[in-house]
Amino acid sequence: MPLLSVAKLSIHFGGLAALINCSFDVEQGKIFSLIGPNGAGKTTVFNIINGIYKADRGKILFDGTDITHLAPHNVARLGVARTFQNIELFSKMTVLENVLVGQHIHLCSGILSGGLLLGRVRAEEKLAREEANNIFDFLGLTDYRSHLVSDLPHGIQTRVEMARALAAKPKILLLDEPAGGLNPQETQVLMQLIERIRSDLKITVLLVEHDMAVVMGLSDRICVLHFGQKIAEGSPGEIQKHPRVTEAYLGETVEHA
Amino acid sequence: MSVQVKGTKLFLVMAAVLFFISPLFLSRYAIYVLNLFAIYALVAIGLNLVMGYTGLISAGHAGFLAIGAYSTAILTSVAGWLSPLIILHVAGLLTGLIGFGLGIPILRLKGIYIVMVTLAFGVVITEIILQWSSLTHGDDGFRVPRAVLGGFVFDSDKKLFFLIQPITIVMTLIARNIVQTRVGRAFRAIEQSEIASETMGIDLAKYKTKAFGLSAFYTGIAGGLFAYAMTYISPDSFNMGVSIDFIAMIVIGGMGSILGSIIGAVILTGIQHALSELPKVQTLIFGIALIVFMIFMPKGISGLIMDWKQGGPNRKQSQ
Ligand SMILES: Nc1ncnc2c1ncn2[C@@H]1O[C@H](COP(=O)(O)OP(=O)(O)OP(=O)(O)O)[C@@H](O)[C@H]1O
Ligand SMILES: [Mg+2]
Repeated sequence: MPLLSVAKLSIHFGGLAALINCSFDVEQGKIFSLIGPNGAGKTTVFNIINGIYKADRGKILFDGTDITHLAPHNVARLGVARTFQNIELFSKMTVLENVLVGQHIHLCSGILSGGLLLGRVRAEEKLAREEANNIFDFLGLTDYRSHLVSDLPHGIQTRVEMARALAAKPKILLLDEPAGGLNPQETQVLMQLIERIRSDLKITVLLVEHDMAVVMGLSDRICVLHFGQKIAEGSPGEIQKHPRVTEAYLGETVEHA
Repeated sequence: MSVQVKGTKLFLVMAAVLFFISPLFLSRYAIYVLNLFAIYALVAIGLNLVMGYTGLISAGHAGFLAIGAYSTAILTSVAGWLSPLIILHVAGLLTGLIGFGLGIPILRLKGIYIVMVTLAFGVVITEIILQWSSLTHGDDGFRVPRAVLGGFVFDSDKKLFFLIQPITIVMTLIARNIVQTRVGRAFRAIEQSEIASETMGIDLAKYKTKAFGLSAFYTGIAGGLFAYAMTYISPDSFNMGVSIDFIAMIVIGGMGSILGSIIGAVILTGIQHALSELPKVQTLIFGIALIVFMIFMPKGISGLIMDWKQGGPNRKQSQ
Protein backbone atom coordinates (compact mmCIF):
# COMPACT_ATOMS: atom_id res chain seq x y z
CA MET A 1 0.00 0.00 0.00
CA PRO A 2 1.43 3.42 -0.92
CA LEU A 3 2.06 5.86 1.93
CA LEU A 4 0.26 8.66 0.07
CA SER A 5 -2.35 8.06 -2.54
CA VAL A 6 -3.84 10.98 -4.47
CA ALA A 7 -6.83 9.92 -6.53
CA LYS A 8 -8.63 11.90 -9.22
CA LEU A 9 -8.11 15.26 -7.61
CA SER A 10 -9.84 18.24 -9.17
CA ILE A 11 -10.08 21.83 -8.03
CA HIS A 12 -10.94 25.07 -9.72
CA PHE A 13 -10.56 28.71 -8.75
CA GLY A 14 -13.35 30.69 -10.36
CA GLY A 15 -13.20 29.72 -14.00
CA LEU A 16 -9.71 28.31 -13.78
CA ALA A 17 -9.34 24.54 -13.49
CA ALA A 18 -6.13 24.30 -11.49
CA LEU A 19 -6.20 20.50 -11.17
CA ILE A 20 -8.10 18.05 -13.33
CA ASN A 21 -8.40 14.41 -12.34
CA CYS A 22 -4.90 14.26 -10.98
CA SER A 23 -3.76 10.92 -9.51
CA PHE A 24 -0.46 9.54 -8.25
CA ASP A 25 0.85 7.23 -5.53
CA VAL A 26 3.90 7.84 -3.37
CA GLU A 27 5.54 4.70 -2.03
CA GLN A 28 7.00 4.58 1.45
CA GLY A 29 10.69 5.51 1.61
CA LYS A 30 10.85 7.01 -1.86
CA ILE A 31 11.67 10.45 -3.18
CA PHE A 32 8.78 11.35 -5.46
CA SER A 33 8.90 14.53 -7.52
CA LEU A 34 6.12 16.63 -8.92
CA ILE A 35 7.24 18.80 -11.80
CA GLY A 36 5.64 21.02 -14.38
CA PRO A 37 5.78 24.55 -15.76
CA ASN A 38 4.72 27.58 -13.69
CA GLY A 39 1.07 27.43 -12.78
CA ALA A 40 0.82 23.71 -13.46
CA GLY A 41 -0.81 23.10 -10.08
CA LYS A 42 2.07 21.69 -8.03
CA THR A 43 1.70 23.94 -5.00
CA THR A 44 -2.05 23.48 -5.23
CA VAL A 45 -1.54 19.72 -4.77
CA PHE A 46 0.44 20.45 -1.59
CA ASN A 47 -2.23 22.81 -0.33
CA ILE A 48 -4.93 20.21 -0.84
CA ILE A 49 -2.91 17.49 0.89
CA ASN A 50 -2.39 19.89 3.82
CA GLY A 51 -6.08 20.65 4.01
CA ILE A 52 -5.58 24.34 3.25
CA TYR A 53 -7.60 24.04 0.04
CA LYS A 54 -10.64 21.81 -0.31
CA ALA A 55 -10.69 19.75 -3.49
CA ASP A 56 -13.86 19.81 -5.61
CA ARG A 57 -13.50 16.11 -6.29
CA GLY A 58 -11.09 13.33 -5.53
CA LYS A 59 -9.64 11.60 -2.55
CA ILE A 60 -6.39 11.57 -0.62
CA LEU A 61 -5.35 8.59 1.47
CA PHE A 62 -2.40 8.97 3.77
CA ASP A 63 -1.04 6.04 5.73
CA GLY A 64 -4.40 4.30 5.53
CA THR A 65 -6.45 7.33 6.57
CA ASP A 66 -8.72 9.38 4.33
CA ILE A 67 -7.41 12.91 4.84
CA THR A 68 -9.42 14.56 2.06
CA HIS A 69 -11.59 16.52 4.48
CA LEU A 70 -9.28 16.93 7.44
CA ALA A 71 -8.31 20.33 8.82
CA PRO A 72 -4.63 21.30 8.35
CA HIS A 73 -3.65 20.77 12.00
CA ASN A 74 -5.10 17.26 11.95
CA VAL A 75 -3.24 16.41 8.76
CA ALA A 76 -0.05 17.54 10.50
CA ARG A 77 -0.81 15.28 13.45
CA LEU A 78 -0.93 12.26 11.16
CA GLY A 79 2.64 12.88 10.04
CA VAL A 80 2.64 15.34 7.15
CA ALA A 81 5.10 18.25 7.29
CA ARG A 82 6.07 20.71 4.62
CA THR A 83 8.11 23.70 3.55
CA PHE A 84 6.84 26.58 1.45
CA GLN A 85 7.75 27.98 -1.92
CA ASN A 86 7.93 31.48 -0.44
CA ILE A 87 9.45 30.75 2.93
CA GLU A 88 6.88 30.91 5.74
CA LEU A 89 9.03 31.04 8.84
CA PHE A 90 8.23 32.71 12.15
CA SER A 91 10.65 35.47 11.32
CA LYS A 92 10.57 37.34 14.63
CA MET A 93 11.50 34.16 16.47
CA THR A 94 14.89 32.52 16.78
CA VAL A 95 15.86 29.43 14.84
CA LEU A 96 15.48 27.40 18.03
CA GLU A 97 12.00 28.77 18.71
CA ASN A 98 10.92 27.93 15.17
CA VAL A 99 12.01 24.35 15.67
CA LEU A 100 10.27 24.20 19.05
CA VAL A 101 7.04 25.27 17.34
CA GLY A 102 7.76 22.46 14.89
CA GLN A 103 7.58 20.06 17.83
CA HIS A 104 4.16 21.40 18.86
CA ILE A 105 2.26 18.17 18.20
CA HIS A 106 4.70 16.13 20.28
CA LEU A 107 4.63 18.37 23.35
CA CYS A 108 1.77 18.46 25.82
CA SER A 109 2.03 21.44 28.17
CA GLY A 110 -1.00 23.71 28.35
CA ILE A 111 -1.82 27.13 29.79
CA LEU A 112 -1.91 25.93 33.37
CA SER A 113 0.94 23.43 33.40
CA GLY A 114 3.10 25.75 31.32
CA GLY A 115 2.18 28.80 33.38
CA LEU A 116 3.11 27.03 36.61
CA LEU A 117 6.20 25.53 34.94
CA LEU A 118 5.47 22.15 36.48
CA GLY A 119 8.27 19.61 36.70
CA ARG A 120 7.05 17.68 33.71
CA VAL A 121 6.95 20.85 31.64
CA ARG A 122 10.56 21.64 32.53
CA ALA A 123 11.55 18.11 31.55
CA GLU A 124 9.60 18.34 28.31
CA GLU A 125 11.15 21.71 27.42
CA LYS A 126 14.64 20.38 28.12
CA LEU A 127 14.06 17.31 25.99
CA ALA A 128 12.61 19.46 23.20
CA ARG A 129 15.81 21.52 23.15
CA GLU A 130 17.94 18.40 23.00
CA GLU A 131 15.92 17.14 20.06
CA ALA A 132 16.26 20.51 18.39
CA ASN A 133 20.02 20.32 18.83
CA ASN A 134 20.06 16.93 17.09
CA ILE A 135 18.21 18.45 14.16
CA PHE A 136 20.64 21.39 14.07
CA ASP A 137 23.55 18.94 13.97
CA PHE A 138 21.92 17.03 11.17
CA LEU A 139 21.25 20.13 9.07
CA GLY A 140 24.38 22.05 10.02
CA LEU A 141 22.44 24.81 11.76
CA THR A 142 24.08 24.66 15.17
CA ASP A 143 25.81 28.03 14.76
CA TYR A 144 22.52 29.72 14.00
CA ARG A 145 20.30 28.36 16.75
CA SER A 146 19.99 31.64 18.66
CA HIS A 147 19.74 33.89 15.63
CA LEU A 148 16.54 35.64 14.70
CA VAL A 149 15.29 34.12 11.48
CA SER A 150 14.88 37.54 9.87
CA ASP A 151 18.63 38.14 10.27
CA LEU A 152 19.58 35.04 8.26
CA PRO A 153 20.35 34.76 4.55
CA HIS A 154 17.88 33.01 2.27
CA GLY A 155 19.94 29.83 1.94
CA ILE A 156 20.00 29.30 5.70
CA GLN A 157 16.31 30.13 6.03
CA THR A 158 15.52 27.32 3.60
CA ARG A 159 17.30 24.92 5.92
CA VAL A 160 15.59 26.36 9.00
CA GLU A 161 12.27 25.64 7.36
CA MET A 162 13.37 22.06 6.78
CA ALA A 163 14.50 21.86 10.41
CA ARG A 164 11.10 23.04 11.60
CA ALA A 165 9.36 20.47 9.42
CA LEU A 166 11.66 17.66 10.59
CA ALA A 167 10.98 18.64 14.21
CA ALA A 168 7.44 17.35 13.71
CA LYS A 169 8.92 13.88 13.01
CA PRO A 170 6.80 13.49 9.90
CA LYS A 171 6.26 10.33 7.91
CA ILE A 172 6.25 12.38 4.74
CA LEU A 173 7.98 15.67 4.01
CA LEU A 174 6.61 17.94 1.29
CA LEU A 175 9.26 20.27 -0.11
CA ASP A 176 8.07 23.09 -2.36
CA GLU A 177 10.97 24.30 -4.52
CA PRO A 178 13.65 23.98 -1.84
CA ALA A 179 16.40 24.85 -4.34
CA GLY A 180 14.72 28.11 -5.39
CA GLY A 181 17.15 30.99 -4.94
CA LEU A 182 20.08 28.79 -3.90
CA ASN A 183 23.52 29.01 -5.48
CA PRO A 184 25.14 25.87 -6.99
CA GLN A 185 27.08 24.95 -3.82
CA GLU A 186 24.00 25.40 -1.63
CA THR A 187 22.02 23.29 -4.08
CA GLN A 188 24.62 20.56 -3.81
CA VAL A 189 24.38 20.57 -0.02
CA LEU A 190 20.59 20.55 -0.24
CA MET A 191 20.61 17.49 -2.47
CA GLN A 192 22.76 15.60 0.02
CA LEU A 193 20.44 16.64 2.82
CA ILE A 194 17.32 15.44 1.05
CA GLU A 195 19.01 12.13 0.28
CA ARG A 196 19.96 11.77 3.96
CA ILE A 197 16.46 12.68 5.11
CA ARG A 198 15.25 9.69 3.16
CA SER A 199 18.09 7.29 3.95
CA ASP A 200 19.01 8.25 7.56
CA LEU A 201 15.69 9.52 8.88
CA LYS A 202 13.56 7.14 6.77
CA ILE A 203 11.20 9.93 5.80
CA THR A 204 9.37 9.75 2.48
CA VAL A 205 9.84 12.90 0.40
CA LEU A 206 7.41 14.56 -1.99
CA LEU A 207 9.40 17.14 -3.89
CA VAL A 208 8.35 20.03 -6.11
CA GLU A 209 11.33 21.50 -7.90
CA HIS A 210 12.19 23.42 -11.05
CA ASP A 211 15.91 22.64 -10.98
CA MET A 212 16.04 19.57 -13.25
CA ALA A 213 19.47 18.54 -12.01
CA VAL A 214 18.02 18.21 -8.53
CA VAL A 215 14.91 16.41 -9.72
CA MET A 216 16.74 13.95 -11.96
CA GLY A 217 19.51 13.40 -9.46
CA LEU A 218 17.26 12.61 -6.49
CA SER A 219 13.94 11.22 -7.63
CA ASP A 220 12.88 7.62 -7.63
CA ARG A 221 9.80 8.59 -9.51
CA ILE A 222 8.49 11.72 -11.20
CA CYS A 223 5.01 12.92 -12.02
CA VAL A 224 4.61 15.70 -14.59
CA LEU A 225 1.74 18.18 -14.40
CA HIS A 226 0.74 20.52 -17.17
CA PHE A 227 -2.17 22.96 -16.78
CA GLY A 228 -3.51 20.88 -13.94
CA GLN A 229 -3.35 17.58 -15.73
CA LYS A 230 -0.94 14.74 -15.30
CA ILE A 231 0.82 14.18 -18.60
CA ALA A 232 3.44 11.65 -17.57
CA GLU A 233 4.77 9.59 -14.72
CA GLY A 234 7.84 7.38 -14.48
CA SER A 235 11.47 7.06 -13.54
CA PRO A 236 13.83 9.98 -14.28
CA GLY A 237 15.08 8.11 -17.36
CA GLU A 238 11.55 7.59 -18.68
CA ILE A 239 10.55 11.18 -18.03
CA GLN A 240 13.58 12.60 -19.83
CA LYS A 241 12.66 10.65 -22.96
CA HIS A 242 8.96 11.38 -22.78
CA PRO A 243 7.88 13.43 -25.83
CA ARG A 244 5.01 15.24 -24.10
CA VAL A 245 7.25 16.41 -21.28
CA THR A 246 9.80 18.11 -23.53
CA GLU A 247 6.89 19.63 -25.42
CA ALA A 248 5.26 20.95 -22.24
CA TYR A 249 8.44 22.63 -21.18
CA LEU A 250 8.50 24.44 -24.56
CA GLY A 251 12.14 24.35 -25.37
CA GLU A 252 13.23 24.30 -21.76
CA THR A 253 15.78 21.50 -21.92
CA VAL A 254 15.00 18.59 -19.67
CA GLU A 255 18.29 16.88 -19.24
CA HIS A 256 20.57 15.53 -16.63
CA ALA A 257 23.10 18.24 -15.74
CA MET B 1 29.58 35.59 35.02
CA SER B 2 28.38 33.77 38.11
CA VAL B 3 29.32 36.79 40.20
CA GLN B 4 27.16 38.82 37.87
CA VAL B 5 24.25 36.39 38.27
CA LYS B 6 24.64 36.45 42.05
CA GLY B 7 24.74 40.24 41.93
CA THR B 8 21.55 40.36 39.88
CA LYS B 9 19.81 37.96 42.24
CA LEU B 10 20.86 39.94 45.28
CA PHE B 11 19.63 43.10 43.60
CA LEU B 12 16.28 41.50 42.83
CA VAL B 13 15.83 40.25 46.39
CA MET B 14 16.70 43.67 47.78
CA ALA B 15 14.36 45.38 45.35
CA ALA B 16 11.58 43.00 46.35
CA VAL B 17 12.15 43.60 50.07
CA LEU B 18 12.30 47.35 49.55
CA PHE B 19 9.13 47.19 47.49
CA PHE B 20 7.20 45.30 50.12
CA ILE B 21 8.25 47.57 52.99
CA SER B 22 7.62 50.70 50.91
CA PRO B 23 4.05 51.16 52.21
CA LEU B 24 5.61 51.90 55.59
CA PHE B 25 7.07 55.18 54.39
CA LEU B 26 5.04 56.04 51.29
CA SER B 27 2.06 58.37 51.31
CA ARG B 28 -1.45 57.01 51.02
CA TYR B 29 -1.69 58.48 47.54
CA ALA B 30 1.60 56.97 46.40
CA ILE B 31 0.46 53.53 47.56
CA TYR B 32 -2.83 54.00 45.76
CA VAL B 33 -0.96 54.83 42.55
CA LEU B 34 1.34 51.82 42.98
CA ASN B 35 -1.76 49.66 43.26
CA LEU B 36 -3.14 51.13 40.06
CA PHE B 37 0.20 50.46 38.33
CA ALA B 38 -0.15 46.81 39.27
CA ILE B 39 -3.78 46.58 38.20
CA TYR B 40 -3.10 48.16 34.81
CA ALA B 41 0.01 46.03 34.38
CA LEU B 42 -2.30 43.00 34.59
CA VAL B 43 -4.64 44.52 32.02
CA ALA B 44 -1.73 45.31 29.72
CA ILE B 45 -0.34 41.79 30.06
CA GLY B 46 -3.77 40.40 29.27
CA LEU B 47 -4.23 42.63 26.25
CA ASN B 48 -0.71 41.88 25.07
CA LEU B 49 -1.40 38.15 25.11
CA VAL B 50 -4.11 38.68 22.55
CA MET B 51 -2.68 41.58 20.53
CA GLY B 52 1.09 41.48 20.89
CA TYR B 53 1.53 37.75 21.05
CA THR B 54 -1.33 36.26 19.03
CA GLY B 55 -1.72 39.19 16.64
CA LEU B 56 -5.46 39.64 17.13
CA ILE B 57 -6.97 42.97 18.07
CA SER B 58 -9.16 43.97 20.94
CA ALA B 59 -10.62 47.43 21.09
CA GLY B 60 -13.00 46.44 23.87
CA HIS B 61 -10.89 45.35 26.80
CA ALA B 62 -12.53 47.86 29.12
CA GLY B 63 -15.55 45.55 28.73
CA PHE B 64 -13.61 42.70 30.32
CA LEU B 65 -12.37 45.00 33.05
CA ALA B 66 -15.99 45.94 33.72
CA ILE B 67 -17.16 42.34 33.88
CA GLY B 68 -14.40 41.49 36.34
CA ALA B 69 -15.09 44.59 38.42
CA TYR B 70 -18.87 44.20 38.57
CA SER B 71 -18.84 40.48 39.22
CA THR B 72 -16.36 41.04 42.06
CA ALA B 73 -18.42 43.89 43.46
CA ILE B 74 -21.69 41.96 43.27
CA LEU B 75 -20.18 38.77 44.65
CA THR B 76 -18.56 40.61 47.54
CA SER B 77 -21.83 42.31 48.40
CA VAL B 78 -23.87 39.10 48.42
CA ALA B 79 -21.21 36.76 49.80
CA GLY B 80 -18.73 38.99 51.58
CA TRP B 81 -17.64 36.13 53.83
CA LEU B 82 -15.99 34.46 50.83
CA SER B 83 -12.25 34.90 50.55
CA PRO B 84 -11.38 37.62 48.02
CA LEU B 85 -9.07 35.09 46.42
CA ILE B 86 -12.08 32.91 45.62
CA ILE B 87 -14.18 35.88 44.54
CA LEU B 88 -11.41 37.09 42.23
CA HIS B 89 -11.06 33.62 40.78
CA VAL B 90 -14.77 33.42 40.05
CA ALA B 91 -14.69 36.90 38.50
CA GLY B 92 -11.62 36.01 36.44
CA LEU B 93 -13.08 32.72 35.24
CA LEU B 94 -16.41 34.30 34.35
CA THR B 95 -14.64 37.03 32.38
CA GLY B 96 -12.38 34.42 30.80
CA LEU B 97 -15.38 32.40 29.71
CA ILE B 98 -16.96 35.45 28.11
CA GLY B 99 -13.63 36.25 26.43
CA PHE B 100 -13.49 32.71 25.14
CA GLY B 101 -17.00 33.18 23.75
CA LEU B 102 -16.05 36.48 22.10
CA GLY B 103 -13.10 34.65 20.56
CA ILE B 104 -15.46 32.45 18.53
CA PRO B 105 -16.95 35.09 16.18
CA ILE B 106 -13.48 36.61 15.91
CA LEU B 107 -12.22 33.41 14.26
CA ARG B 108 -13.83 34.18 10.97
CA LEU B 109 -12.78 37.81 10.93
CA LYS B 110 -9.72 39.77 9.98
CA GLY B 111 -8.26 43.19 10.78
CA ILE B 112 -10.74 46.02 10.86
CA TYR B 113 -13.70 43.67 11.42
CA ILE B 114 -12.12 42.36 14.61
CA VAL B 115 -11.69 45.97 15.74
CA MET B 116 -15.37 46.63 15.10
CA VAL B 117 -16.67 43.53 16.84
CA THR B 118 -14.52 44.05 19.95
CA LEU B 119 -15.34 47.76 20.03
CA ALA B 120 -19.02 46.88 19.88
CA PHE B 121 -18.50 44.34 22.63
CA GLY B 122 -17.09 47.03 24.92
CA VAL B 123 -20.01 49.33 24.21
CA VAL B 124 -22.57 46.57 24.70
CA ILE B 125 -21.10 45.63 28.08
CA THR B 126 -21.34 49.16 29.47
CA GLU B 127 -24.86 49.41 28.05
CA ILE B 128 -25.88 46.16 29.76
CA ILE B 129 -24.46 47.44 33.03
CA LEU B 130 -26.44 50.67 32.64
CA GLN B 131 -29.69 48.87 31.85
CA TRP B 132 -29.46 45.99 34.31
CA SER B 133 -29.76 48.35 37.23
CA SER B 134 -31.45 45.85 39.58
CA LEU B 135 -28.09 44.09 39.68
CA THR B 136 -25.62 46.87 38.94
CA HIS B 137 -27.38 50.02 40.22
CA GLY B 138 -26.98 51.37 36.67
CA ASP B 139 -25.99 54.99 36.39
CA ASP B 140 -25.76 55.44 40.17
CA GLY B 141 -22.69 53.24 40.25
CA PHE B 142 -21.82 50.50 42.69
CA ARG B 143 -20.33 50.92 46.12
CA VAL B 144 -17.93 48.00 46.51
CA PRO B 145 -17.85 46.39 49.95
CA ARG B 146 -14.45 45.77 51.52
CA ALA B 147 -12.75 42.46 50.90
CA VAL B 148 -12.37 40.34 54.00
CA LEU B 149 -9.86 37.52 54.29
CA GLY B 150 -10.13 35.46 57.50
CA GLY B 151 -11.26 38.42 59.58
CA PHE B 152 -8.70 40.79 58.03
CA VAL B 153 -10.46 43.70 56.36
CA PHE B 154 -8.76 45.31 53.36
CA ASP B 155 -10.02 48.77 54.23
CA SER B 156 -7.08 50.93 53.17
CA ASP B 157 -4.81 51.31 50.18
CA LYS B 158 -1.94 50.15 52.37
CA LYS B 159 -3.72 46.91 53.21
CA LEU B 160 -4.89 46.43 49.62
CA PHE B 161 -1.27 46.78 48.56
CA PHE B 162 -0.65 43.36 50.11
CA LEU B 163 -3.53 41.83 48.17
CA ILE B 164 -2.93 43.51 44.82
CA GLN B 165 0.85 43.36 44.53
CA PRO B 166 1.40 39.66 45.29
CA ILE B 167 -1.40 38.67 42.91
CA THR B 168 0.12 40.83 40.20
CA ILE B 169 3.60 39.44 40.73
CA VAL B 170 2.42 35.83 40.66
CA MET B 171 0.27 36.40 37.57
CA THR B 172 3.14 38.19 35.83
CA LEU B 173 5.45 35.24 36.45
CA ILE B 174 2.78 32.85 35.20
CA ALA B 175 2.32 34.92 32.05
CA ARG B 176 6.07 34.90 31.50
CA ASN B 177 6.10 31.11 31.79
CA ILE B 178 3.15 30.75 29.43
CA VAL B 179 4.76 32.82 26.70
CA GLN B 180 7.99 30.86 26.98
CA THR B 181 6.42 27.43 26.69
CA ARG B 182 4.28 25.54 24.18
CA VAL B 183 1.08 27.61 24.31
CA GLY B 184 2.88 30.94 24.13
CA ARG B 185 5.00 29.77 21.23
CA ALA B 186 1.81 28.74 19.44
CA PHE B 187 0.36 32.23 20.06
CA ARG B 188 3.44 33.89 18.61
CA ALA B 189 3.55 31.47 15.70
CA ILE B 190 -0.04 32.35 14.81
CA GLU B 191 0.82 36.05 14.87
CA GLN B 192 3.64 35.53 12.39
CA SER B 193 2.21 32.97 9.97
CA GLU B 194 -1.18 31.36 10.30
CA ILE B 195 -0.56 29.05 7.38
CA ALA B 196 2.75 27.77 8.75
CA SER B 197 1.20 27.40 12.20
CA GLU B 198 -1.66 25.22 11.07
CA THR B 199 0.55 23.04 8.90
CA MET B 200 2.73 22.49 11.98
CA GLY B 201 -0.30 21.14 13.83
CA ILE B 202 -1.51 24.23 15.67
CA ASP B 203 -5.30 24.39 15.80
CA LEU B 204 -5.87 28.06 14.97
CA ALA B 205 -9.43 28.15 16.28
CA LYS B 206 -8.46 26.56 19.58
CA TYR B 207 -5.49 28.82 20.22
CA LYS B 208 -7.16 32.06 19.16
CA THR B 209 -10.10 31.43 21.48
CA LYS B 210 -7.68 30.35 24.20
CA ALA B 211 -5.76 33.59 23.76
CA PHE B 212 -8.96 35.61 24.11
CA GLY B 213 -10.07 33.59 27.12
CA LEU B 214 -6.73 33.89 28.87
CA SER B 215 -6.51 37.58 28.08
CA ALA B 216 -10.01 38.13 29.47
CA PHE B 217 -9.13 36.14 32.60
CA TYR B 218 -6.19 38.45 33.31
CA THR B 219 -8.28 41.52 32.65
CA GLY B 220 -11.15 40.15 34.75
CA ILE B 221 -8.87 39.66 37.76
CA ALA B 222 -7.54 43.17 37.20
CA GLY B 223 -11.15 44.37 37.14
CA GLY B 224 -11.80 42.72 40.49
CA LEU B 225 -8.75 44.35 42.03
CA PHE B 226 -9.82 47.63 40.42
CA ALA B 227 -13.21 47.36 42.13
CA TYR B 228 -11.53 46.84 45.52
CA ALA B 229 -9.06 49.67 44.95
CA MET B 230 -11.63 52.20 43.76
CA THR B 231 -14.37 51.17 46.23
CA TYR B 232 -16.85 52.73 43.80
CA ILE B 233 -17.39 51.77 40.18
CA SER B 234 -19.75 53.07 37.52
CA PRO B 235 -20.26 52.29 33.84
CA ASP B 236 -18.32 55.43 32.99
CA SER B 237 -15.12 53.88 34.40
CA PHE B 238 -15.16 51.45 31.48
CA ASN B 239 -15.92 53.54 28.42
CA MET B 240 -14.43 53.18 24.97
CA GLY B 241 -11.62 55.64 25.72
CA VAL B 242 -10.40 53.32 28.46
CA SER B 243 -10.04 50.50 25.93
CA ILE B 244 -7.99 52.78 23.70
CA ASP B 245 -5.76 53.74 26.63
CA PHE B 246 -5.05 50.04 27.13
CA ILE B 247 -3.95 49.71 23.52
CA ALA B 248 -1.73 52.76 23.96
CA MET B 249 -0.15 51.07 27.00
CA ILE B 250 1.05 48.04 25.09
CA VAL B 251 2.03 49.92 21.96
CA ILE B 252 4.16 52.32 23.99
CA GLY B 253 5.48 49.67 26.37
CA GLY B 254 6.09 47.04 23.75
CA MET B 255 3.92 44.60 21.82
CA GLY B 256 4.67 40.99 22.56
CA SER B 257 6.57 41.73 25.73
CA ILE B 258 5.62 41.14 29.36
CA LEU B 259 8.14 43.72 30.53
CA GLY B 260 6.78 46.13 27.94
CA SER B 261 3.25 45.64 29.29
CA ILE B 262 4.38 46.69 32.74
CA ILE B 263 6.38 49.65 31.46
CA GLY B 264 3.45 50.85 29.35
CA ALA B 265 0.99 50.49 32.21
CA VAL B 266 3.25 52.42 34.58
CA ILE B 267 3.99 55.22 32.12
CA LEU B 268 0.40 55.78 31.05
CA THR B 269 -1.04 55.50 34.53
CA GLY B 270 1.72 57.82 35.75
CA ILE B 271 0.92 60.45 33.14
CA GLN B 272 -2.79 60.10 33.83
CA HIS B 273 -2.26 60.91 37.49
CA ALA B 274 0.33 63.60 36.91
CA LEU B 275 -2.07 65.35 34.55
CA SER B 276 -5.32 64.45 36.27
CA GLU B 277 -6.29 68.13 36.28
CA LEU B 278 -5.94 68.31 32.51
CA PRO B 279 -7.83 65.38 31.00
CA LYS B 280 -7.84 66.97 27.53
CA VAL B 281 -4.05 67.33 27.47
CA GLN B 282 -3.79 63.73 28.63
CA THR B 283 -5.83 62.39 25.74
CA LEU B 284 -3.78 64.49 23.36
CA ILE B 285 -0.49 63.16 24.73
CA PHE B 286 -1.68 59.55 24.55
CA GLY B 287 -2.92 59.99 21.01
CA ILE B 288 0.30 61.57 19.80
CA ALA B 289 2.43 59.01 21.65
CA LEU B 290 0.40 56.18 20.13
CA ILE B 291 1.01 57.48 16.62
CA VAL B 292 4.69 58.26 17.18
CA PHE B 293 5.39 54.84 18.63
CA MET B 294 3.48 52.94 15.99
CA ILE B 295 5.41 54.68 13.24
CA PHE B 296 8.89 55.09 14.69
CA MET B 297 9.18 52.54 17.48
CA PRO B 298 6.86 49.65 16.69
CA LYS B 299 8.66 47.53 19.29
CA GLY B 300 7.93 50.07 21.99
CA ILE B 301 10.11 50.93 24.94
CA SER B 302 10.89 47.31 25.76
CA GLY B 303 12.13 46.94 22.19
CA LEU B 304 14.47 49.89 22.73
CA ILE B 305 15.76 48.29 25.91
CA MET B 306 16.36 44.99 24.12
CA ASP B 307 18.21 46.71 21.26
CA TRP B 308 20.30 48.64 23.72
CA LYS B 309 21.15 45.49 25.66
CA GLN B 310 22.23 43.72 22.51
CA GLY B 311 24.19 46.61 21.05
CA GLY B 312 25.29 48.17 24.33
CA PRO B 313 28.72 48.24 25.97
CA ASN B 314 28.87 44.56 26.91
CA ARG B 315 27.75 43.26 23.56
CA LYS B 316 27.95 39.52 23.35
CA GLN B 317 26.89 36.84 20.94
CA SER B 318 23.65 35.43 22.32
CA GLN B 319 24.38 31.96 23.61
N1 LIG C 1 -5.90 30.57 -3.92
C1 LIG C 1 -5.95 30.66 -5.27
N2 LIG C 1 -6.86 31.46 -5.86
C2 LIG C 1 -6.93 31.57 -7.21
N3 LIG C 1 -6.11 30.92 -8.04
C3 LIG C 1 -5.17 30.12 -7.53
C4 LIG C 1 -5.04 29.95 -6.12
N4 LIG C 1 -4.01 29.09 -5.88
C5 LIG C 1 -3.54 28.75 -7.09
N5 LIG C 1 -4.22 29.36 -8.09
C6 LIG C 1 -4.00 29.18 -9.51
O1 LIG C 1 -3.90 27.82 -9.79
C7 LIG C 1 -2.92 27.58 -10.75
C8 LIG C 1 -1.89 26.61 -10.19
O2 LIG C 1 -1.14 27.29 -9.20
P1 LIG C 1 0.03 26.62 -8.38
O3 LIG C 1 0.49 27.60 -7.40
O4 LIG C 1 -0.40 25.31 -7.89
O5 LIG C 1 1.14 26.42 -9.52
P2 LIG C 1 2.58 25.80 -9.39
O6 LIG C 1 2.63 24.61 -10.23
O7 LIG C 1 2.96 25.65 -7.97
O8 LIG C 1 3.41 26.95 -10.08
P3 LIG C 1 4.86 27.55 -9.71
O9 LIG C 1 5.84 26.67 -10.35
O10 LIG C 1 4.84 28.91 -10.34
O11 LIG C 1 4.97 27.58 -8.24
C9 LIG C 1 -2.32 28.92 -11.13
O12 LIG C 1 -2.92 29.37 -12.30
C10 LIG C 1 -2.68 29.80 -9.96
O13 LIG C 1 -2.82 31.12 -10.36
MG1 LIG D 1 4.26 26.53 -6.72
